[in-house]
Amino acid sequence: MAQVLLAVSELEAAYGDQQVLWGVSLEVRVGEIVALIGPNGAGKTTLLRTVAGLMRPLRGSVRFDGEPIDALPPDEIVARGLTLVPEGRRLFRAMTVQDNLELGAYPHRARAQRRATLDEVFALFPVLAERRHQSAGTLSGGEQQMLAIGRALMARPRLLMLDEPSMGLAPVIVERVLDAVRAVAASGVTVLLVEQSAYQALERADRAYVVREGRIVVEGSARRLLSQDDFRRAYIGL
Amino acid sequence: MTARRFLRPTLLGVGAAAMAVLPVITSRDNVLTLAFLVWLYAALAQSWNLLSGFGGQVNLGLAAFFGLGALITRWAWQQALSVLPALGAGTLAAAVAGLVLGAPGLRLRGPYFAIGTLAVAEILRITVGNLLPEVSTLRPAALVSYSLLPRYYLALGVAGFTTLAAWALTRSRFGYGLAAVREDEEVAEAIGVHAFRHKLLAFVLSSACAGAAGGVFGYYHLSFYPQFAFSPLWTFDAVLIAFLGGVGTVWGPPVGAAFFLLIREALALRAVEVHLLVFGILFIVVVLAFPGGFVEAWRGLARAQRVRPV
Amino acid sequence: MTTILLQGAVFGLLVGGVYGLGAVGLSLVFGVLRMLNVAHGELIMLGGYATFMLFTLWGVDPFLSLGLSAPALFLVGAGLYWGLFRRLAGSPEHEKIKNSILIGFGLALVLHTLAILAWQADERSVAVSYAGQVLRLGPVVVPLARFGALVIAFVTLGGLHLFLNRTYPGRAIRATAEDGEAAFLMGIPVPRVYLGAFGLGSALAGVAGTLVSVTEAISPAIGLTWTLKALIVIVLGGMGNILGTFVAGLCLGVVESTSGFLFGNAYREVVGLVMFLLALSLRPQGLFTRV
Repeated sequence: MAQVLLAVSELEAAYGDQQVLWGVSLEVRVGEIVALIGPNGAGKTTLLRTVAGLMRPLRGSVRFDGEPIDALPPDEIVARGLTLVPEGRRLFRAMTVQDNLELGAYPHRARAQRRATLDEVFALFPVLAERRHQSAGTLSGGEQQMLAIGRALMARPRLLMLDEPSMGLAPVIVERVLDAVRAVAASGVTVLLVEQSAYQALERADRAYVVREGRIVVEGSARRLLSQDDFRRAYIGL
Repeated sequence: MTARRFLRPTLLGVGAAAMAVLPVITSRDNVLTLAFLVWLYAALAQSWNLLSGFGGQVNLGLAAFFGLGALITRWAWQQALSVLPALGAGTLAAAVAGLVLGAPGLRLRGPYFAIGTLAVAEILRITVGNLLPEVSTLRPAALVSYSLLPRYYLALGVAGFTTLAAWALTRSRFGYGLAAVREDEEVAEAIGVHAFRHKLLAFVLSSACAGAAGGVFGYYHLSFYPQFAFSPLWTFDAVLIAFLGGVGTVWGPPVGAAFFLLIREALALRAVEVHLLVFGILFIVVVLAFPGGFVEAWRGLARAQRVRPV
Repeated sequence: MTTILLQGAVFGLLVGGVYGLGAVGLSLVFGVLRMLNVAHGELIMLGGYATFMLFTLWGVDPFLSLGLSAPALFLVGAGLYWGLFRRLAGSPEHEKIKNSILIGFGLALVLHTLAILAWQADERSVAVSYAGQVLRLGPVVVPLARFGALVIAFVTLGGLHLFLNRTYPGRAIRATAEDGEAAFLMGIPVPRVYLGAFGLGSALAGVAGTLVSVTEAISPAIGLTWTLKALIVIVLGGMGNILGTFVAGLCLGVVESTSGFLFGNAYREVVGLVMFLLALSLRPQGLFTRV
């Protein structure tokens, strides 16, 4: 069994007075694609934001490669090899594609290798190479998502988290984006994928967790879950 | 306990009575002057509080209306009008200015409104300074008959009126609407509160009260440079006092004014500038640490007393 | 007649360059931190006094003193941010702007008073030996010192533009200005960027202050005037737009100068303020679009 890269244990988090996570525990092992699915408002985004350091947890711990990171600010977490592609992409729309990508390589370690990484990202997403000098705001939805993923990859992460990459995209584009995610994983990056499109996420994932109302309610191998009728009916609606 | 219900109004009544008979108890000028200034500053701070505390629209140009009230009242009074109608004229002028400036001005978002009002006050200050550069003095007849007493009561009256207005805001439908606009304008509109109308009315009310305070100032001073009444320091003092006492509360401005003037008296023994320094620092500290001012701190203490953890 | 107007316009351009520089620092801070430091004019005033001290005590030429006054003001700004404005960084946006205006208001008073205590309320100026020299461009007379100030302003803004667009720290600042959270997720140390941006804005104020001390008189009272000028220029030029701010500064200079000619010097400031109010009511986000 591969080594555990990310270990979340009994995580509790709140927005002000409103508690959102009620003791979430999950693991992501090296080389895996782990999917996190569940209804809106379940706390999936909160979980990713807390792991990424944008929020401080109330209780519980987050360990990356054995090291506790729950008290670290986002920039230090990125420097350790954990990046997040946030919900809604959050590109720097006024800047070019190339500028966005280069900014992704801000941490020192990544900056030194940025030319090589840039070539890798362009190989993965050729459309970005074509549009490298275009302003990010002029790209289509799917291209923007690829740019967001590429930008996160510029930091040379060991674990890449994605928050609803399919949001706002046409089904055909969603397929393409998620295939790209699979390609990213194939290149050696571990992936934690939060998705609304549960079926498509599970198709490509190794393992999955289902979050509901701030708690993990189901976990297991993606393939096995997909094959279970009652699971499919409950969480995928097929 | 039913006795509790009467505690606050009784205290208020006693306090008001004490303030009213103060000139009878003491004829010492410096005590009366200090008390006069407390009422003046309380009135000015309260007028700021009406728009910016209860209404949430930060007004950095309060001095414009204070100055206008001072100027018009002084002028009307010196045209042999008796003081109350003169004060009325000053108040009215300030109210009209509030309407004229508020109608376009309140369409601006928060920070733009704040610096826009600052710009207006500066425009008025410079213009007045150019048009009326000489000091305004009283005629000999007025000098001879000058007495602090009517001025004291006038200031007390204006302070009382503005505080009453603030109190009315906490109890009226208009006040609730205004509070809704302050919290979230879009939501307020959604529930049927006409945001612009509420803001404008609050602005006019605030300007009128500032004008009344200015009128008292114009009636009180033996001589002053007209542009002095438009100085941004008046706005600053009003804002500081409101913050010290508690922005958005009824009793914040009066309490803050008392505190402010007592400290100022204590510091007046040293160089003039030191008190500006102290108040500047105090203001920053209050904005950062005590957004609720004294009144909130006092209430917090009272609450903590009542709800004691087991 | 035309010569006088032309002279006025040229003079306005010379003055306006410094207006633009004075405004850019404030615009940068607002763009990155969403805080409006209304004590910015006081920072300009302090920059002027720094130059004045260096000149009076050690005979340092004001244009050379930039190497000292700019870093000094950077440190002052960083200190002010660390001690005061940093506490607002986590607030929601409208609270942040409002509280920064209030704190700036108090800070302006404090700095103004400290300046009076340190240097008295009188006007000072830095009287360099070449102050009287002029260039002649046809019928127009161009005071050398003011020309030098315009050149410095232009060069500084050009350098700023290069910094913000061609260097990693500069682009990190722009990214933080656009989306602070996203920048954080890129590994950009946002708290440090805030500190640096505030310091940089203050350093720019320091440079402007140095130029003011050479071309005009400084006194503790100039703070509010310069803050208002900076605000006028920002609203005209659009927040966060360097070129727009510079051009808006030039416009303000020319308008003030020609209206000073038409209405008399006493109303020079008023015209600018009225223009400001007009611009606010017509287009609060500035007349130039964001670059």
